[in-house]
Parts: sequence; C-alpha cells; structure tokens
Amino acid sequence: MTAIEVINLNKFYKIYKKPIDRLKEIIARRPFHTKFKALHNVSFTVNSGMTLGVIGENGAGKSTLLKILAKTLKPTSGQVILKGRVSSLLELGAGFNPDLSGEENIYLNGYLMGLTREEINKKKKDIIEFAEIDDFIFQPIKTYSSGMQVRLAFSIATSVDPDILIVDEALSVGDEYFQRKSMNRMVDFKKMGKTILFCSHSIYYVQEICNEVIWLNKGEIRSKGSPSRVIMDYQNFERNKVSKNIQEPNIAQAKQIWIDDLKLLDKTDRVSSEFDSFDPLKIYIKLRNKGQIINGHMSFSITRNDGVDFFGTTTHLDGCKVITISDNKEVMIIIPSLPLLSGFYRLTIIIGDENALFPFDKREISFNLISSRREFGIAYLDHEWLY
Amino acid sequence: MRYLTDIISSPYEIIKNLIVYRHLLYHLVFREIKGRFVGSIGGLFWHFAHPLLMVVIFLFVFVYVFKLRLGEGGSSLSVIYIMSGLFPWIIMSEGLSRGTSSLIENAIIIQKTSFPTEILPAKAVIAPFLSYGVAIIILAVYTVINMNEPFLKFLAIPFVIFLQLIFTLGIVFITSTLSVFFRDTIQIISLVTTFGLYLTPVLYPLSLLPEWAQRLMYFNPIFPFTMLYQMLFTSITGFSWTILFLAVFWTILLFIIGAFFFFKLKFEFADWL
Repeated sequence: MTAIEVINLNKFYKIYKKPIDRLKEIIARRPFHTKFKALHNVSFTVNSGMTLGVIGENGAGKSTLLKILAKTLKPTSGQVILKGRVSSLLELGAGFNPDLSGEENIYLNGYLMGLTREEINKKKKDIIEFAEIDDFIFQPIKTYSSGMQVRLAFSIATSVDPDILIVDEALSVGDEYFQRKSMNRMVDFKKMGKTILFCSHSIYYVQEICNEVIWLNKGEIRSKGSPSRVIMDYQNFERNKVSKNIQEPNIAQAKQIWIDDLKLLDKTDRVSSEFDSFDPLKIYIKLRNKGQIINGHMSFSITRNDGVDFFGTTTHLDGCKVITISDNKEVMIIIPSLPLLSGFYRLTIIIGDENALFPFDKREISFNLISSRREFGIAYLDHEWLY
Repeated sequence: MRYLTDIISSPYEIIKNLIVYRHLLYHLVFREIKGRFVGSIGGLFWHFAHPLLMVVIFLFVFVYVFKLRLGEGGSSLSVIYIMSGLFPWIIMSEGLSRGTSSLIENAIIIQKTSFPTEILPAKAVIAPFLSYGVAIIILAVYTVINMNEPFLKFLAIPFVIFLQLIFTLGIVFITSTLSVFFRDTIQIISLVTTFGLYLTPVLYPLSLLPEWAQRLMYFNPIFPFTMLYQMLFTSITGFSWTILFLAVFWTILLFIIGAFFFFKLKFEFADWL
C-alpha cells in the first residue's frame, strides 16, 4: 500500500527584479519575471511503513519538496497524495511564541496541529518528560537555550502519533545525547510501521534508517534506489567537485619514454573497471622507449576522487631493483586483495629515472569500487571485538 | 461553471476549518486580548483608554460645542446616538486594521507550519468584538434604564453584532489577502477607517446630509450597520426593513467574495510573504 505518492511535481518561483513588475504583469498580462525551477518533474512513491531518505546539496530543492509535502507550500503543478495524519518537523520551533511559557507553547503548537485541549492534556506529561525541560516549562521560551527549544519542539512534533512523519534536518541540532535520543524515537516510529520521509545532511543517519533514498540535484531526481548505491553516487559526485579545485602538479613531458598502456585486470584476467572489496587486482603496464635502454623506477598510488590518498609506493621505496626500460617493456603489479570500500578511485602510475627524482611519464586510470560490505570509510581495517 | 462550485465551496471550507481548529482560534483570540494588557503597568486601562478618549472627545465636540440635538430629545439622546454608532465603528476599524495585517505579522508561522491560515484574520477580527463588545452591552443596559426605549428591541443586538462580525470578516479576507501581495493595502485601510468615519452618518444624523448624499449612502456598505445600531438604540427614525436587508445583503455578498478570494490565493501566501 502506498502512503505517499508524488506525481510530476513542479515548483517554479517567479523572480521579479522590482516589486512594481508584479503589478505590471497583472495589468499588462505579459510576463515580467524570470523563472527559477526549484523542483522539476519529481515523481516517487513511498510504501507505508517505509523510510525514504532525501539527500542533496544545499539548494537542491529538498526543503521545497518537504514543505510541499507538509502542505505549507503549493506546487506549481503536479500531485501529492498523502494517506493518513501527517506531522512535519520542518524547522523546529517555528510555531513558538517566545513570550509564552513552555507549557503554553505546548498548547499553542498542539492547537496548530489540530489537537483538542483534552488530547494535549493527555500528552503534556510525556512531552515535558521527553524534552527534559523540568521546571523551566513554566518560564517563557525566550529564556531557553536553543537546545532546549529544539528539544521541546521535537518532543511536541513527535507526540501527535502521525501516520506519516516528515523530518527535515531536525537532528542536526541539539547535543549528541539528544540527537541519539531523537534518533531512537525515529527508529521506534519505524518499528511501529509509520512512514517516514527523512532529509538530512548526515549521510550516516540516512544510511542507518532509510529503506530507499532519492538524490535531488538542481530540483530533479538524479538517482533513486537502495541507500548504499544512491549515497555512493552522491558522495562520488561531491568528491569530484572537491578535486576539481585541487591543482595537478605538472609533469615534464619528456616523451622519449612513455607509458603506452595501462589496464586493470580482475581475477579472471579480464579488463575491468569495477571491483568489489577484497577482489584481487592486477595492474598491467606497457612502456615504450624510443631511445637507448635506461634504468628507471616506477610508482603507483591509489587516490579517491576527492583527492584523499589511499596508498602509494615506488619500486625505489620497496627496495626493488631498477627496471630496465626497453621498448615494449611490460610491468605487472599484483594486489592479491583490495581492502578498499565503496567509492571512485584513481590509480596513478609514474615512471621515473633511476634516482626516482625525474618523472618521464604519468598515466591515470579510474575504477569504481562497489563494495558489498556495509562498513564505511576508505579501507577495511582488520579488527577484533573483545568484551 | 468552475468558479461557481468554488464560490459555494470556499465559504463552506472556511467555516469548516474554523470549527475544526476552534481550539487554536480560542487560544489565539484569548492571547490577542490578554496580550494587550499583560506586561504593561496600565494594563486594562491602556486597552480601553484609546477608544474611550476618542468617544469622550467626539461627544465633547459634537454635543457640547456644536450642540447637536436630535428631534425632541435633549443632549442625552445625542450622546446615545453618537455612542451607538461610534462603538461599532471602533470595533470594526480595529478588526479591519488588525485583520488586514494579520497575515504579514504571522509570516513565519504561515511559512513554516501548516494549519488553515484563515484562523489568523478570524482571530484578529473576533478579538475586538469580544473585548469591546462589552461596551455595546453596557450602553444597551444604560439606554434601557434611562431612555424609555422598548426593552424587546435590544434582544436584537447580539444578532446585529454577529452580522457585523461576519461582514467584517468578509472584508478582512479580501484585504488581508491583498496585503500579502501589496503591502500598501494596510495604509489604504488605515486611511479608509480614519476618514470613513466622517463620511458615514455616525457623528451626525443622516437627515443633515443633502438629498443626493443621502441616496449615495446606500452604496456605503458600512452605513446599514451603523444605522441598524442607531435604530435599535434611539427612536429618531423608525425601523427600516430596507436597512436590515442591505446589511444582510452586504454581509452575505462580502463574506462569499472574501472567502472565495482568500481560498483561491491562500496557498500562495507562503511564497509571497
């Protein structure tokens, strides 16, 4: 059974240069605005009891989407079908009146969500207890620390027993203790079979509790599916952006000696660009030399696409003997087991002179590591738990 | 055809929402009234000082200085006449100005929480009716005791107040919606409430106006209401069905138009505020 159905949702904002343009548009009946597409043809369904994560950069349209689902914004076109009572945790504490006491604000927020006085009376004790406000509950909200305000707001919003819960960045505030506590409450909701729409910058939380993830980029769904897959795509995309800003060192192009071929081979010796953790990896390199035979050293390094170095070494460092570089010289590097976790990686081969000082040529190849493992980080670390 | 169903359904939807969210409405109205005299030393005094002073000064100018006399009655009849029209006027203009700016003042709540926004203009209009409505009741009691007016007539007052409340609500639904898109609406409303008082027979009787102006008055939607109060409190003019009909007509018309207008645009508010 579907709990949330979103069909071809669009949200455009009209941007006016001057306020008077609005009036001109009505009178002259021709457009005086430029369009900004906050959401473009967004469609998805969420089955009841499922948790959908929404990830994306700032300004990707996440908040707009959630606001439309929470019915504070009207879409330009498209349909949203929600089945059941919806409670939204969008910008916690927005409904608070700072001059009223915490207790009065519980009533105000309860009324805003359409509860009756009796219903709030029943829930009040639990709300105060969960928020851990104690005696402050009779003080005006303006005397609260921001953490206390958020605790109270979260506590109220989740106390209404919704069928669908919409959460936006709610957990990025508050101290770690409360983050954990509110996370546990979300997990409880999930266990009770409620439908949750969860939007967070915390990839870890999204991975933990979501059954499915959509990645919004510039108002459009860039990818959707299982959390590990979508999150990986998203993180690779983000890292690519980071590495574009890193300057590559220049290599003197002494094209007497160059790397002619660079191939990655899998366990069956076939060329591949996709590997799983602990797969064996063979690197095949073919060198050309148009001059006389000389000695050289070679290095290889593996770097994630955001520029984080995973590993690098040289024949020089490893204490190997020099490579005699003749024309069509073949070199193999054998890695019996690749301890990497999910991500896009770049393998760099450099061939240099005898003293490993002057590089002749550099060649790069990318590969995608799609790990079937669920640990996070760059590499797998051998470990053991003791109790 | 499409608009026709909207015109019928929007007043219904608004009334339904106000009933479903009545707890929020009570709370907001109560807070609006309480908020006026909590936190200041003068408290209740300030709440009533402004309208009371206004009434006293108008009475001084018109009854004492200009010596306004109506028919056979002495100065006390003039006092009751002016007060019976002025009280409802003050209540209405308070409701109009607060109601018109109610959406802008609560921009944050509208943008960040979801609830029927019609609650906000409604509470702004209802609050002055509740807090100042007492003055009309007190005036009624005073008039019954001192003026030999038939007591039964005054039983109609709650009905008139209710009618006026719905009428004001209708206007505020239009003006508050406009104010979201054009902030100038607030200034215009403040002009209308300030100067409209002199253009409506509140401080003077209708009969003092020239013939053409009297006829023009029937196009002034507020006129039937002040007139209704004056008819109930004094016997200067007899009861007129035309006036009652006009009041009901304006109320129904403006409430339906207001509700339709508000409902058509309320989902745009969050974008424009």
